[in-house]
Amino acid sequence: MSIKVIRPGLLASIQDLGRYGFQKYGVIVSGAMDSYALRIANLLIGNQEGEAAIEVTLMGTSLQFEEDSLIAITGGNLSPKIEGEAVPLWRPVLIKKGSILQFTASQSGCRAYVTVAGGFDIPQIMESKSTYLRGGIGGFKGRSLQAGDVLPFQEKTKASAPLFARLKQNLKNRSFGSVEWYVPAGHVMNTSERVIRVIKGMEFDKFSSSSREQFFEQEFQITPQSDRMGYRLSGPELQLEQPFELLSEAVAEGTIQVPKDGNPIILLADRQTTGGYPRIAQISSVDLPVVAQLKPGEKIRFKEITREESERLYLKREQDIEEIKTGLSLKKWSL
Amino acid sequence: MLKMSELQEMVNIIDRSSVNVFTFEYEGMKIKLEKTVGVQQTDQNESVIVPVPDIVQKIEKPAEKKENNADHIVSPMVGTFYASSSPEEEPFVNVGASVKAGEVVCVLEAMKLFNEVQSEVDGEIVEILVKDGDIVEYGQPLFVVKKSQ
Amino acid sequence: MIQRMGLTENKIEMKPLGDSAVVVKFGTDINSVVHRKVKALTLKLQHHSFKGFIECVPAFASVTVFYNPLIVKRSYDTGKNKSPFDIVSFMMEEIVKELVEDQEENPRIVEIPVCYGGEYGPDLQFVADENHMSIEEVIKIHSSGEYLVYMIGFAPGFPYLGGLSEKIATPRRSSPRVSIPVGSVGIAGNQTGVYPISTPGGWQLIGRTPAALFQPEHNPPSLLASGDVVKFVPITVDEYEKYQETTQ
Repeated sequence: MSIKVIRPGLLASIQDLGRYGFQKYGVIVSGAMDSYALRIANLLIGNQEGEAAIEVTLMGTSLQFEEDSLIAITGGNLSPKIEGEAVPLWRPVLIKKGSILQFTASQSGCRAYVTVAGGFDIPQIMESKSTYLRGGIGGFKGRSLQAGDVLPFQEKTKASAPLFARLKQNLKNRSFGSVEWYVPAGHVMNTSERVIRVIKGMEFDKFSSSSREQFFEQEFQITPQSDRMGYRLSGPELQLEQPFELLSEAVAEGTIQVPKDGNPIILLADRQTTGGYPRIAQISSVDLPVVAQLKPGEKIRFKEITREESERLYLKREQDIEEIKTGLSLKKWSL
Repeated sequence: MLKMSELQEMVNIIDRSSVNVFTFEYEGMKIKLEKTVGVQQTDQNESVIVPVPDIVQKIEKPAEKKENNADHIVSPMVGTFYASSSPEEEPFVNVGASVKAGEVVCVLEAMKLFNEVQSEVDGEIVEILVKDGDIVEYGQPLFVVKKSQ
Repeated sequence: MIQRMGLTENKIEMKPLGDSAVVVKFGTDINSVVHRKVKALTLKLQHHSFKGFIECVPAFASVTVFYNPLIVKRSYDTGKNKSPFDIVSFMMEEIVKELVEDQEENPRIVEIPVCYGGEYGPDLQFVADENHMSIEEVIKIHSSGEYLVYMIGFAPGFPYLGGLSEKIATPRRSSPRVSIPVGSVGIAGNQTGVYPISTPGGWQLIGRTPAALFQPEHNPPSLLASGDVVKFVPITVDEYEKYQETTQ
């Protein structure tokens, strides 16, 4: 069982939940930008939630399946089509041997995740299958996918067998088949402006009072100089009350740091492990998937919440995912 | 009939989950599972542990479904009714819309999954009997449909 | 001799970094006392972590502890409804109180062979001129120092080293190089460092090491770790080439 890459598109790479435990050696975390979408894509087809997926960026990627395969596509709606017919997202899909899955254009969101039942048979480097693109490490040969790459699958899990059997039975002459249930994707919707919830950052108080106000009152736009490492924002220039020396220390996914030019940067999956710029805010974990789906040109606003609120949202999200897991496990009796 | 091993598996799934009460009906058999809630989870004044609604799921084999009442589309399960796939989307159908057999008319949310409900007949939606966010019962009529000739 | 570090006397701050990490701050400047505390906590967490612990990242004056809030909450909340941050910072306070420093434990000394000058160190002459000395003197000063690895960051395996003699401190190049070769040893201001991977940069390059500072197939993947002491050992071009042959 395997996938063959026909066209890589803008950028497609293998990512899992990230490479943890090696940041103290300067090794970046990497991993899926939208970790929620990755987890759901795995759970839908009976995988462990952290299995590696193909992260597809915006458009142009096309993949051929060499056997009948149970897959899921989640994340942004990049108009996936199988042999020209639209494929539903956030559900298990059985794709017929030889069929081609293409991502044609973004209707909403920026990144889609393709998982296969059993996961990809790719070696782990430092306990992760994620691709560290700049370091040339992990994933498929340490690089983004290229035309002609063949990605083998691991053995399917037992949990996926009933689903596979039922979809296969109903497939008939079609190039793919799916089910009538799905996980709703509230976070990837097309709205003109989004509100991202943040906690005040470590150096928030060191910014001038007008910058502190502007940060919460004005809009910021995602610039084209944005990638998996971070999003550069344009908007009001944020200034410190007084310049000061800051010692480098660890940063996290969603840290918003402000270099000297005053334009904030949101640090994302491929961020460096440490940084020395003042940190004005930290994005609440539950809103990181929202940010991951933003495209250059889109606008956002920041809204302050307390750390306690952010923790509650985190715990609630995890509880929701547990409920989804239970719901999915019970689905086998209603197939 | 459910096999003992399947029953055991179901008990395990519920046991590991955050669900406290679970009722299940299958081919004329009814099972109710109720967890004794542990002491460590009872402190809920700040409600970090969000109470999970009781789940009742009734499932019938498609083959055993009785001839659907031509006039109603009924709920196949317990869940929360939504007329559209998200608040920003248009409803799947409005009163006066014509529907084809197999067309999705609404979704029902249960255990954070959305389940599509399809019309079983060709016809016209005459009335919508529930509102967005209503919790509906198994077998509860959702739409009145006038069958096409 | 084992001695309590007396950390409780100094003010130690616990600050949240979002909803899933705590920064334990031991001070606000770079010095070896603060560094020893950073090192002691890092070592402690390596061997005695807690449920939900993901990893810790030591820096100049702080250790950032990353955790999974759900696991922390489920494992340690005894019905008092404490937040994951409160639970982890309380645990860190308790650990810090008990931290001991083994005064007799010597830091690991790592010798890094460096071929100074020539094509490997194109800026060596500039550094000598800038500091009004010969290139031999620059090499002698650079290779006789002992450099403390305060932290690893910026790039995989890249050490932030303390201890460069002010006699050879040199400003960055006015125009950065597009690509600095792997293994380059450089000076920027009063810092010295080694590039584990090829990147753009403005450092004055005085030599190159054949030693691999970043080895992704090894565990740990970095030759150096926070707390190590680095010594640079001058080698000839021949030795450089032989070293490369034997390690490849």
